[in-house]
Amino acid sequence: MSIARKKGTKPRGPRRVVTTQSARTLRSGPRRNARLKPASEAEATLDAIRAGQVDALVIHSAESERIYALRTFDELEQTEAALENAGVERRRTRAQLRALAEERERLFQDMHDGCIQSIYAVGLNLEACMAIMETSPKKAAEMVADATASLGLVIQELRSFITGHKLQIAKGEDLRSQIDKIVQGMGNRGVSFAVDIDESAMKALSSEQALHMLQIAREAISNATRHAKAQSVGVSLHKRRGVVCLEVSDDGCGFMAKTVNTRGLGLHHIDARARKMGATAQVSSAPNRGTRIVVKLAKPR
Amino acid sequence: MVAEVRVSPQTKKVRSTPGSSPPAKVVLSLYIAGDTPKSRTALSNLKKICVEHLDGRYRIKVIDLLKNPKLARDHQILALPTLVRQLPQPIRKIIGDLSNTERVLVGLGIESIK
Repeated sequence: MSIARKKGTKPRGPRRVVTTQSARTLRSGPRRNARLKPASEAEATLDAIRAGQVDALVIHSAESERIYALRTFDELEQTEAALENAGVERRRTRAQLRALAEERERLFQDMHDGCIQSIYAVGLNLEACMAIMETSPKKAAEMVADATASLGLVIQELRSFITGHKLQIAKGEDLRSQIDKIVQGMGNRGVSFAVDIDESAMKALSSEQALHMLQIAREAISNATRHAKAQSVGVSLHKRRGVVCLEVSDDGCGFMAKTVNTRGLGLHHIDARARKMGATAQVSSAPNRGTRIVVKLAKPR
Repeated sequence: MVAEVRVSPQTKKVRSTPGSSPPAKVVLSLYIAGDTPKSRTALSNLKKICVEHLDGRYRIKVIDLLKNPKLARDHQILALPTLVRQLPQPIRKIIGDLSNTERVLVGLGIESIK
């Protein structure tokens, strides 16, 4: 088969097959003699990408053109590092928020179980004082003096909140003496108290655990006198088989767990404090059968 | 909206040899992807090359494809920045920030049209 050729045109030599070097160039980079004149636009693009001179690639389709930004490894590493830092920062912020929430809850509990109960006890005493003011003025004066001293303690407690100090059992005091003080504060309303604190149980507790036990006892005693109108209240702390057990029981009106909101503020705090020190709290009560609160700490210290 | 910036050369007298045809005007389009360091480097290198080698016989058009990607279709642009010599024909392209002056001159055939 012959091919007609135009007159005057030079015969063409055999066609040279130009193979693409893209695959090789991808692996090994451009050849030395291709430095100035790349064989194809694709190679020129690869050269420019390798030299870090390209910002973006354009992907063409039938409908549209899209621009894809190229990133160098340095930029990718920087982006990765920035993302990592952002993650660390976010985790730190979350931890700070959690710590703040815990601190807020602790303050709330301490104020509720500490100051508020103390002020309530002072109020009860002053009420009792009014009743005997005419018949026993000397006794009434003593009670007013006690109330003033108690308010002084409350002020000290509030100051410790303001200065950020954690609540703790005062120096020279222990759990027994503190519970005795609470009982004395409540006892002027004709409620009889039976307190039985075991020395070994008291020594088994850390200062933080002792404080939690004290606040739980304070809350339970306050509930017994304030809500349950109890005539007698028993407070005991024992250690049996390594388990420290605090029990506060009363003969008050009690309540039906199903009809009364047992997750009320005080009982909720008792439960929260028990969990904080790794203990369990059990509240059992029935109408006209009193209430019994038992906190068991299996691993003191 | 067509995103383009026209860069006009400073007016200079075109040197031409008596009897020879006047040198062709070079029309260049620089395609970029936004205001990036590489885009700025490319434009700065291009201006420098034009001032040094084209003696006022050029026109530069800067086209930002981030503002209008469709404009990439005209010259089938693959990577950015890309410089396209539209005139004189044939169309030639050079990809990158134009930092290799020798390569830009060879790639755009500027030496041959001087």
